[in-house]
Amino acid sequence: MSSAALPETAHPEAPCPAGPKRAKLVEATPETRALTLMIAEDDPVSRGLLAFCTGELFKEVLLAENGRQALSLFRERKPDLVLTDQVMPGLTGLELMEAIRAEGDRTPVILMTTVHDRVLLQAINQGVDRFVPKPFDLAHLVRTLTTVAAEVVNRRVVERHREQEVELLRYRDAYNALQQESARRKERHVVRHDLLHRVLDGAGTRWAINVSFAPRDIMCGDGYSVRQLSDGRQLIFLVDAMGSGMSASLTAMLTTSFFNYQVDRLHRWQNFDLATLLECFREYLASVLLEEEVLSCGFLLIDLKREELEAALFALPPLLLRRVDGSVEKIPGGNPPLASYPTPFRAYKLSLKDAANLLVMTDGVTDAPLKEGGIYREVLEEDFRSTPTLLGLKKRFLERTAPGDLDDLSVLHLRRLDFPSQWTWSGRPELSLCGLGRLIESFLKALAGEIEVAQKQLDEVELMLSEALTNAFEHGCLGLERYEKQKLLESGDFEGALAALPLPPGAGISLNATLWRGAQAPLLLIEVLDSGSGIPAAALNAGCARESLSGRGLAMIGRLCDSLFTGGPGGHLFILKTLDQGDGDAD
Amino acid sequence: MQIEVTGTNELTIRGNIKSIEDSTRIKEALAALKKGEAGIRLRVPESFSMTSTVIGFLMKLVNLDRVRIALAVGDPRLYQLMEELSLVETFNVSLVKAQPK
Repeated sequence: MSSAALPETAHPEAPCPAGPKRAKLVEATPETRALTLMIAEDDPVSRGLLAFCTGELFKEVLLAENGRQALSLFRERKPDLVLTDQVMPGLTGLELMEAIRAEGDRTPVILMTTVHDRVLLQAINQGVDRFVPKPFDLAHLVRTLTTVAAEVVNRRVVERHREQEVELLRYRDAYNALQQESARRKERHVVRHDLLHRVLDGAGTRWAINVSFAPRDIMCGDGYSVRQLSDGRQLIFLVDAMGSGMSASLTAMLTTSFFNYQVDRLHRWQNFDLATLLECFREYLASVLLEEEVLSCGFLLIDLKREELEAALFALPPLLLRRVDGSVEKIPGGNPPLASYPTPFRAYKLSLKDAANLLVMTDGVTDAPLKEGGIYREVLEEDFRSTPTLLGLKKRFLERTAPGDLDDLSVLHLRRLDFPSQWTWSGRPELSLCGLGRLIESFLKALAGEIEVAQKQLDEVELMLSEALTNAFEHGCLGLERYEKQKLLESGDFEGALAALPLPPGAGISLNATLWRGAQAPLLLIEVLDSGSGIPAAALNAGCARESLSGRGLAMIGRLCDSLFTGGPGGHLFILKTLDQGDGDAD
Repeated sequence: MQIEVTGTNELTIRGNIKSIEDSTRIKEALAALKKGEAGIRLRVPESFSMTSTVIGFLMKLVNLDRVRIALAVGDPRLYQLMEELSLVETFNVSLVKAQPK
């Protein structure tokens, strides 16, 4: 603590101290004693006396002989409170305070002054915290200092609490975000689609399975699984658990996981059939469902070679089936929801011989409110008739339904890829970039001749074909791996290398297209086949490295078509596009 | 699609960029430009998209040849494509109102 020696004689204007004893600490606390006081007083006697009287109240007392020194000392040492005389040479007490406030500092300032209205008014306007009249009364001075010091301490405690709360909130936010991300990853891990983007071979007909899965929350009450069985059949599970939030999500994940577990062990079963699987599932439910809890779900066993489907639907909306001639049938499930106790149920068989596509969905879709009132169930069949693809149906759904609080939305879609010929086109290009371009031109001319298509859509088809055929030529026919192409592009030798690369024997590309008019909007189905090793289905979903100079072609096609599938053997890309749509992203 | 040289280092590409031939012509036109310090300005007022071949070529110019590119597009769909591919910053993409021809 800086201090000055007491003068032997008191200064004529010096205040009369209460006595030689130090002021008794009435309100000082350990917290206030941790603070630093600055005293600005030009009179050395007063300055010394003030230092003496306040020494025990604070951790440190800084002394300044005049206003300028005080301002400099304030900026350097940042005291917690200031006691200043008003009348000082150079900078007055008020001017000192003005300078402190001008820097945005709210450090409490106590002004010692003789009563003077003008000064008082000015002090009030400039934000003085307290006044101490001069000559000062020691007890009053100490009370004032300890009161202001206590206010400083309290203010800092409040600020500290506020900072801690903010820190806690940030921690909780980070923790919640981490939990949500973990839950999302777990959900993606449990929900399975073995056949994503894959062409499936049936009895002379090819098929594909799309899924549209739009959970409302991270913890979703819907779940699904699409599994390929070792005997060539497909088994599909769709679930909509009762209620919402964590409880429903838990049931959906448990039941989907159980389904996957059973499917993974089907090789241990002799003569697997749907009825036996359902019995196992119901036994499991007895241990999982609460007494009053029920479950909507569906099982579909698909045999594409025999063109048959066996279905058991429990309280799901009716299955929608469209035939190749465009007729639509609604097939009710016929079973109540499953519960923890056994109830009789029935499965039924459907022929897929003349099926074009079929939908199974949860009631989040059918019960969604329409913008004009009512629910989507009332217009679902109409929209299904008018749109040949799942993407088209999704768009109609979003256009018609009221935005806001929708339920989880899950739709499973089985679709045929080969149709009785209504219009078909085939071609094989000369294997060069120019040759590919000529083939595309020829196709577009034929298509425009067959059907009236908006130029915008023809442009989209042209772009898709440019990407698909270039991909087939470079990666399929020439066998150029992605990393090789990257190196050639980086070196600037790509065009030259492309021209110089020899074509392997048997290299070739085919372009086949069909137009199907079974829905109100015509559907264009395009196949691009090449002699290469094929496109893995995962490549249709994979992105490419940000700095990669190639690899965006499939993504470009996906942006413009309704659906994209890959088959085999060899390079095989199947592109579906509804012809009266605008911009689209593939399922 | 038509390509016009509309400045010392500026190309304007009219129409849609959609065919294999379009990609080849654009690459040739870009290669023919002098790539000075000012970089290259590319105006694409009408196209709804761009082929992956052109995108790859532009990326090579920016990342490997260190040529600064400013791409002004007129169709929001093309801007959206650039956003989805995280290329707005790389190509300094701006969405401008289509100018009359």
